Amino acid sequence: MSHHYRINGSMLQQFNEKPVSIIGTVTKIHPSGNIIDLETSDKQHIVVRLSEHVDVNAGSIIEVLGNVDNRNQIVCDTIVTFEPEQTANFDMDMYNQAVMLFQHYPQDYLVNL
Amino acid sequence: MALWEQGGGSGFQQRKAGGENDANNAQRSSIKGVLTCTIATILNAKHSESDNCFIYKHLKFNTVMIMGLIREANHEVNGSLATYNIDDHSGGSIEIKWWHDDSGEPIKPLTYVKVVGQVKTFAGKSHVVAHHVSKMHSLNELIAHNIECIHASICIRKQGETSGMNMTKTTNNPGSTQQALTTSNGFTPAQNAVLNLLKTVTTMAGYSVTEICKQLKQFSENQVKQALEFLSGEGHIYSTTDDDHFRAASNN
Repeated sequence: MSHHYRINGSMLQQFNEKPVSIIGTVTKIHPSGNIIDLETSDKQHIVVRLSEHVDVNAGSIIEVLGNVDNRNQIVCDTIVTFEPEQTANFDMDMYNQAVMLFQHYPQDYLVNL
Repeated sequence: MALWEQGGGSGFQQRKAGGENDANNAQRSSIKGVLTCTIATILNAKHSESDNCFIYKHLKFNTVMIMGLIREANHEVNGSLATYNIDDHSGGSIEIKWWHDDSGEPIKPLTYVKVVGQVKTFAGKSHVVAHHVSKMHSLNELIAHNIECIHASICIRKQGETSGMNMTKTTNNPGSTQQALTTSNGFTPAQNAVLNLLKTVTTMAGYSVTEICKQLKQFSENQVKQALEFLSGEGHIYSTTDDDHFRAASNN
């Protein structure tokens, strides 16, 4: 399990081919069930491709763990869902700021590269 | 294999596992307190025999607080040991051993948990013996934890830098109106002047407060009195014939 960078929508391009973690809100689930649209913490919309059908509800907040492909989509290997109480008061803006913070302090947010 | 059967010798032989749960060891370690950190920090740390703690870069620790996703969970059927493999996306996962009472349902994989426990190594691998495991209450808690990891690291790094660079300790006289200037031995100018004066004392009675004030005209009586109070509290001077006469504790 390698280090997953915590990113938002606008950072997708600079993390091409890298493992990432994104927390966002599910806006649309494609009829096939294998593709979902996610609204990220910086209000961008990204496409997440799942290897298998996962049970998510539109409007729920999830965490996507996967790799960015060259089409600026996420090829997802794990979806983490949460209980409603866990995301009830989630501060998406604060999370967005935190995401930038992790980029600024690589010598303090210690990871296995 | 039972403990006493290992090693082939007669009697009990202590294994050389680093950070082993030995009461003497734990007390010898000067690294107390809980470090909020990433799992990568623990995995990359080396155990130091001399410091009796784990070290990675500027971080030294024995007890940690981590938050991560359970990837694998194993609950003893008739026992109280739960073993989890948790991953916080910093690269790699770590095993958590938790001896718990029968409270609550076993926690399932793909749930985030917060763990506080001691880092141990065995057979070259690190794991955490948890004394606290709880499910994440809110996603905000996870984000706050990650920010705290950065904060802890920065604080510790700053502490290391200042103690290395200068040896001064800024002394703050409560209610004092004098500037917090420090001299090279950590005293304020008034304290330094009073102490140096008292070091020149030749009589058993020492100098009285009024005498000191007369000699040190650059300071107010209040400043002199506060300096005396500080110095005697720290043990650098002592009162002699009465509360108004002082001598220095040493003359060097």
